[in-house]
Amino acid sequence: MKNSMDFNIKKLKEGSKDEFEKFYNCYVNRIYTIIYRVVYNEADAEDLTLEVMMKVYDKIRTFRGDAKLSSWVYRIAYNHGISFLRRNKRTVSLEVSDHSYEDKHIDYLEKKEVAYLVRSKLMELPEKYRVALTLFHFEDLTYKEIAYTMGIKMGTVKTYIHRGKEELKTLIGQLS
Amino acid sequence: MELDNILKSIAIEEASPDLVYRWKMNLMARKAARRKTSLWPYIAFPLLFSGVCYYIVAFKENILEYFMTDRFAWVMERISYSLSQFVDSGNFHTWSIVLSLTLAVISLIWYFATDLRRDSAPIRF
Repeated sequence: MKNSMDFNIKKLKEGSKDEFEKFYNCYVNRIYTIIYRVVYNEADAEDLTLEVMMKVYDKIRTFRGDAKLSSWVYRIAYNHGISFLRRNKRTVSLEVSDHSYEDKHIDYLEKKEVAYLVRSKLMELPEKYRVALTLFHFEDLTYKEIAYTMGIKMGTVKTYIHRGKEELKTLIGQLS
Repeated sequence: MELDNILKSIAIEEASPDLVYRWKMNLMARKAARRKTSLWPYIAFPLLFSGVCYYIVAFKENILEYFMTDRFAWVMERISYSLSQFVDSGNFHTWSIVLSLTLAVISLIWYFATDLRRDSAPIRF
């Protein structure tokens, strides 16, 4: 049984250490990203990433293969992030926002600075747009998989991505 | 620069490198917590207990026949007499078996109950 990211699910279910190390190395940044885009706090995102990894390690035996392994993992990560937010009843603070960037014309900025600007503005979007846009730009995620991950309809995903981009464009000026 | 390209380039954040170390430590801790205790004492001890009960019965049956020569025999007789008083009171064979089985069942329940509790234990970081 092979997955698109070339994992042997049978070995994962048997608790193979090597396979899990491969899995960890492949997914750690993706899981971290989803959670970070939900909770917007590096320390919390790291702790939650480890919790999700543990959850996957514990629950992999229950994975039936109805969805792709990646979608299943992203869904766990997203739900874990959301329930953390609900549990802590915390609103996302916007620490990174640096308004000095807005005054400069985007063409004069280096690539890294542009990325920094977009990243900071991305975090100002509502959580659902942030996550939808993030997932959309993961290498292998379709609308259907994003819908599965976020537990919403495919049409809603398209709306979130479209509105997210529009809001992002407004936030960063005439970037495109 | 196209917004989609920028978004693609920043889609995946870099987690801190020490996450790998923390993950491995957590995994080891989880494996240690899940290590099952051995099942054999839960089976062996009740059997041993029933063996001891059987030995007491055999001892009672044979001691008077073979050791009635001196003071030692008198001590042993007293001991065996006391034992026989205990052993002959009621149906000792039946009760020893019942007690052994009860102990075995309680041991197994204890074993599997603690096993379940281990599985549902919260993850500690």
